[in-house]
Amino acid sequence: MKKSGLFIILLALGYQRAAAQTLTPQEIIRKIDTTERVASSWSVMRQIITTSGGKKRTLEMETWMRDRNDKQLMVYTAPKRVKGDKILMLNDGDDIWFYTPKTDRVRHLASHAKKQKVQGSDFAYEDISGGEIEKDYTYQLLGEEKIVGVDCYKFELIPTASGPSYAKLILWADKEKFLTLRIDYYEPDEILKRLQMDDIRQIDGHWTAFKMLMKNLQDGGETIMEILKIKYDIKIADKIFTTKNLKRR
Amino acid sequence: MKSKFYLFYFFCLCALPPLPAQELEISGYFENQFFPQKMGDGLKLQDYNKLRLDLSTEISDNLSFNTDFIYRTFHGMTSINLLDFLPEKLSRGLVALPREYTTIEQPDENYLDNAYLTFYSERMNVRLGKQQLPWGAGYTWNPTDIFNDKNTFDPTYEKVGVNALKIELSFAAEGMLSAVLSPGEVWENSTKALKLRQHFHGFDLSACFIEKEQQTFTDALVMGIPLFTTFTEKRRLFGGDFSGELFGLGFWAEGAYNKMKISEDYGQYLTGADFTFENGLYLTAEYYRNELGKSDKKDYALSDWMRLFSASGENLGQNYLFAGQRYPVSELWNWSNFALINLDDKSAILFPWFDYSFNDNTEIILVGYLPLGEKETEFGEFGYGGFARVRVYF
Repeated sequence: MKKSGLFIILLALGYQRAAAQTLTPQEIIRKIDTTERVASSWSVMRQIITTSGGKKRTLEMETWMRDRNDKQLMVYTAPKRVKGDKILMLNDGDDIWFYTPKTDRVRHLASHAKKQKVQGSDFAYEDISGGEIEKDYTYQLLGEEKIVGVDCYKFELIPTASGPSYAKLILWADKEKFLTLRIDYYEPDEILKRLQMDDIRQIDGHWTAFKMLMKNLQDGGETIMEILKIKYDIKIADKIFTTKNLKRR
Repeated sequence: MKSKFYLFYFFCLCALPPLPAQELEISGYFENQFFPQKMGDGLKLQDYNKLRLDLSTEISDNLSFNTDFIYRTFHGMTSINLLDFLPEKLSRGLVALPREYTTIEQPDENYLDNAYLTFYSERMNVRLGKQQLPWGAGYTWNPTDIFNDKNTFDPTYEKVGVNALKIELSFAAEGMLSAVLSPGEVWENSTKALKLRQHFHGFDLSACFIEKEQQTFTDALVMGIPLFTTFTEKRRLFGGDFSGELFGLGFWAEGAYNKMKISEDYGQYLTGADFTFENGLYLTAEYYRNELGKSDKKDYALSDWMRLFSASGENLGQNYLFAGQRYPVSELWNWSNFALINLDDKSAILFPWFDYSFNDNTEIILVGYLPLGEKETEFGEFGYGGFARVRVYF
């Protein structure tokens, strides 16, 4: 009896593996999009920028996301130099506004400005804006590889017109969790940056990388983004994501 | 007396009984700016220390209070003789005037820069008090911004607050109607403004109407000496702006037509574009058409120069080009070069500009002024110089 029970379990596991193995690249990408594009979230994050010369700058921010990352708001809370600066991203990052309380001015960023570094970090605006792999890239499954001991799917992503400005991205995603673990950014054959996810935990049923390291492979600088607090599937009012709200102090 | 009032005001704020201490946020910065400039045969030095103290509190969910107080001390050359900046043909006649007529004193100052209450609701924001009113999409010039004085040599520097009542009504997703009243002595000389803004297919668009009473500079000949005087007149401004993206470039335009009660009507228009390359190199350019200016340097009158030196900072010529480049040398260093060119009198000023993040809360800016041009042109007689600015936030 026990044997037959074990057999059923093994059979079920075997079926699952076989099912996973038979996933098409499109199904895998859709699963990654589903995992990473959550309904809503609020988080407190810390960003540690280390320059190529070894100097460090630390920033903290509060972020709100809604509608599967379609709407995002980042508010810098420290240090005092940038406190109150806000970044609003709508339409999957197609529209980005920057607000600074120093001049009480809201500025709409043109597409080219999305290549600019955010507050001197190694993240560009286009790296932190939302988006959907299926919509913003054409993709090709290159195979499977282990990344820090985890079995991953390896994809080549070529940005479409709605995607970022990079020539291509190589993405590794956890085969079980369908969560991105690493991205290499290329321009066009030269690797520019590497994003590495670490400290993966499950919060409110969502797999979350609590540490993201963006390494600039050109100049040796790096930026770590750490999640200090996070909540998922919370109710966030629509009015938070408006340019009118940016001026609220 | 004034200082005592502000001190009293500060202590009153700190002692507001219904506000727990942790809800009153205190921040600010200290800034020192050193400004050497070559004038005549010598190097003149100016320096200031500025302390800005910001206080803010959320009184309730839909009501907040913000204020900042500024105390600034000036050192070095605190008395500026306008004759040093005027062409010889104009200054010649003024030499005989008593010194107080041609000199601007720069005493230490302390003032409430901003102090306002803001009421928020679903569809409406109301702000009352001294506040920032930044209007216009332009970078170096803002023809639709009649509330602020813009320094074309340092266009992003914070502006002085304007005493006003501002009501903002939002409609649709990103539409907004703003109404501003900045009271004068009576309703007739108060500044009234209306602005309609909408975001449409990636473009921010706005149209505005402003009515204000202002001092207009004009020339006067007194006993054969060319002097200037001012008179009061009504100005009605019809304007608008837009910013967005065209052919992959960031693109903006702003314009204003000024209908004057006494002097001639004039328009001021600009258009600009910018682009960022993959390596972070940022390029920008802006063209400005100023119908208030003169197309020939021979026509620059004393009143034009005084308007330039005055708070309004209106340029002398009709056509200008601003161009610049910024490059992030490292995460902490930006190196920029800007040029401001008067296309009519062929004079220009170049600004090499370095900004450095010394630590989390300290920034250092080093700027050079390199003027080019013949005598009697707008920038040709501006002395070589620059400034070093250190700002520490707390």
